[in-house]
Amino acid sequence: MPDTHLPKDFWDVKNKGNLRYNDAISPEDERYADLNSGRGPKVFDSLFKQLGLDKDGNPKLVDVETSQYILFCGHRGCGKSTELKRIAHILKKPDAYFVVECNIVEDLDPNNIEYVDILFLAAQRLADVLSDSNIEVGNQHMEDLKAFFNERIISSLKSKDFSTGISAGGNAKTGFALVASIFGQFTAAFKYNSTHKEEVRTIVKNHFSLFKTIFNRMLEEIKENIKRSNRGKNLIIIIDGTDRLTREDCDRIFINNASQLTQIETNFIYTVPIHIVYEDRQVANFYDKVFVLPMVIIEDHNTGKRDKEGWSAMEDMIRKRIPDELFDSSITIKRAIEMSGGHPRELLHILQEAFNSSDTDLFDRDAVELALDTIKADYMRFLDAEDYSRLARLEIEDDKESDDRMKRLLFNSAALEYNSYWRMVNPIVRETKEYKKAYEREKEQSKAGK
Amino acid sequence: MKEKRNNQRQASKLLRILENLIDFELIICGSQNASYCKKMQEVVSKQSKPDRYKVLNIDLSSIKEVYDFQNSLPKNAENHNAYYVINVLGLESKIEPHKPCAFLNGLNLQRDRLAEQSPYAFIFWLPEGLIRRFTLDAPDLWSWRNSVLVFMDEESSKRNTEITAQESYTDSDFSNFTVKEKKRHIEYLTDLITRLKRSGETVEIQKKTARTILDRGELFRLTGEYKKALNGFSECKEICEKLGDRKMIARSCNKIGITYSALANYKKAIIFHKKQEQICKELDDRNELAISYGNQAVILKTWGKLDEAMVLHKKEEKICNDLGDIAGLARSYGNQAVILNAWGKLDEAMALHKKEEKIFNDLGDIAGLAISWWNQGRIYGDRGDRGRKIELWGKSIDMNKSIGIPTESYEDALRKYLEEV
Repeated sequence: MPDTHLPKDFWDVKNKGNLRYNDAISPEDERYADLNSGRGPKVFDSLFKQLGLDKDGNPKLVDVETSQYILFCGHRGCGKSTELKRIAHILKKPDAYFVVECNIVEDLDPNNIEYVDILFLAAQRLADVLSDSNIEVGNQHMEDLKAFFNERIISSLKSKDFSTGISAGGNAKTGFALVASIFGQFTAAFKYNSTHKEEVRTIVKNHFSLFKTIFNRMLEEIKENIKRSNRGKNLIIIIDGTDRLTREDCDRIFINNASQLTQIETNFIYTVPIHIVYEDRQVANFYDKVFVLPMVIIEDHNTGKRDKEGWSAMEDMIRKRIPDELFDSSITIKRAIEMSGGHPRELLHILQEAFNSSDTDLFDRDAVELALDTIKADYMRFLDAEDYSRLARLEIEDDKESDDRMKRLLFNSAALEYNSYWRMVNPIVRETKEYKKAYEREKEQSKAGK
Repeated sequence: MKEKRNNQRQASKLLRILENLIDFELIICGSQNASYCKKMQEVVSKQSKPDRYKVLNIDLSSIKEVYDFQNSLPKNAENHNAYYVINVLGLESKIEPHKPCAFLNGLNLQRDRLAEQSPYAFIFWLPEGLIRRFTLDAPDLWSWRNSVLVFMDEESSKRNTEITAQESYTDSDFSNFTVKEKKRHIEYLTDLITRLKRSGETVEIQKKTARTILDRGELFRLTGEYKKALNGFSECKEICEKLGDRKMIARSCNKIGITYSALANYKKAIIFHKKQEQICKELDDRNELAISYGNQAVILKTWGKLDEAMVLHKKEEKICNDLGDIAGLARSYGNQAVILNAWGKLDEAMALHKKEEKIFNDLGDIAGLAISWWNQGRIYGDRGDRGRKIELWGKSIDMNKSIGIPTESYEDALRKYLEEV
């Protein structure tokens, strides 16, 4: 990593990777800007409280026997992964949580995924981390788990070629290293073994109830031993990457199989796509908290005036990457922020496109306007006439209904959501001719209706 | 003239992007026809600067899976100092109208790995009209785009507009479709089946044909065209029998059974559910097996064979318990309670309804709750507690109304009951 991320000239902005938006930034990175003050007051308070922490992240009530299932969602590019990293960092303390992090995109085949795959991956990662931390549990739990795999799973496999590949006790590993290796063989099968994975999954699902009982008994002792070894007061497993699943897969896993996911007794945070918040009551009934990471608020919902905190957070984000002198004027910076709607990745995208379009080796107003035209065209590719009308109704009537169309518009960031479920039409969409026409039409209809 | 100006602007933008490549870059280039696309790819190739990067062309039409695509790419770990500009061609061969593109879905899911393992510049070349599909089927990858450039055909920009016609994205879940959408989708599937049948007889095509026929059958069933639905399910079953695809045969049998039940031809229905049961046992597919047991039990109950129905519901209950399928469990409890009620075991029936109610409450299953309350109301009525019965029936009707389920027959029954008492 270079010593400093601040670029020496226009071209160096790109060279330093300061226009990149394809990786989550950790709080230690020089480019990291704390946007949370701009997302609205007390955004994380309720999430922290749910996890037994005060608003500053200090543990207060973590030593409680709980199994909480939290869904963490937000718009694409609003900073979910970055915030999740920060949260994991806050939770990971001896007087707070023993944190296990998994990413399904890295370790499973996300094209073909079932709830069993996710739970087995979580179990594998947990066993890995416990093995590294020298935490152990009584032999009986190990024996029960081995017996479950040998007697219920491996013996039921029809394919002998495959079953000999899975050994629940025949190698030199012991303790959690062995557990990690057993689960690892299954997750590898779920990922790579296209011929037998369905068979393996079916057998595991058929015996899920027994698996759950054995695993939960083991978890109970794991949690006890984590406490005893002063590694944490509680256990939490954070699953990232599940927000990338297709809508169909996501609904199947997080709604249809919610009862199975929530039968494993420890704390979980799952990332999910934003549409799931609006699905139905099942989500609220099964999960203890659905946390939506809001956009940065740049204008006041009621007065339309500029929101100081949000605005300064976005300015800070730019300054951490591009010094003021590389802009032709502060008006250009304001224009870029205004059009981003408080969406961090959209802001970077505007600046990236402006970099591509500039003729002056500066981020100038013309380049930003050309960038906005390009991004407008991108939105126009997937918005149809009814979408524009629906968006116009959102602006005119503050229509909060989360119908299928609105879910899709939120999913594609044509509509943006802020703290307290306040929604706004993406400013770039608001500037398209199509939207303006639809707005006039809907306004006329709204007047006629009155 | 306008096209030429646009192309010059887009070309200079592309060159500027190529000048400043670092790490992973995603550029999407659309064009109004294939020949122009080719012309622009040549421009990119000519820009190749061996001292800075090499240009590679990868044609997706000869690549099957996303993994194969990833494996065909140069890897960061193996090429420490080299940088590549990768022209990705033939994406259009993976995209079918009205159907999510599995390849794009896969790329979307593999976004992080793609950027990490091959941190190079990817230029996806595709017809302009298909860019929209990129936004819909690979939304996360799309959100990482550096830029989208559209080149216009300078000679015949209007001649080829048909390939840019926008396609509507449809989900394979038909439950959310309106009647009009179902009918429109039937037309589309009919056309697709004809094309599939013409395109060859490989196992893959036959499997796809069978699945499409099954989907169309399901749409016929949902629109009340039971005869056409049955023809479709039977045709699917025949194809799957030839292919030896047992899972799909079981699915077809289930659909045929459900359709015959809707036609009140229970005798035939149960034959197919039995067949489904047999296959599920062979495949050890207990989830489907529980469904088969449940469907058979409902038919047996209609015939008054309550003992036999109860046996099957108990089997269903056991499987749902093992699988942790609490929604299935609630259905089983509810059906068992109705049988217990018929046997006069009112307390046992009520106990099961209460269990069922708790699960539906947890699941937020409003329709399930409405049914449970209706049936509990019946038991209260049988016990002589008319007030409670009327209260629960009223609640059940309100609940159904709140989610748009027709309530006329329920309201009739309540009215009649009120007149009686």
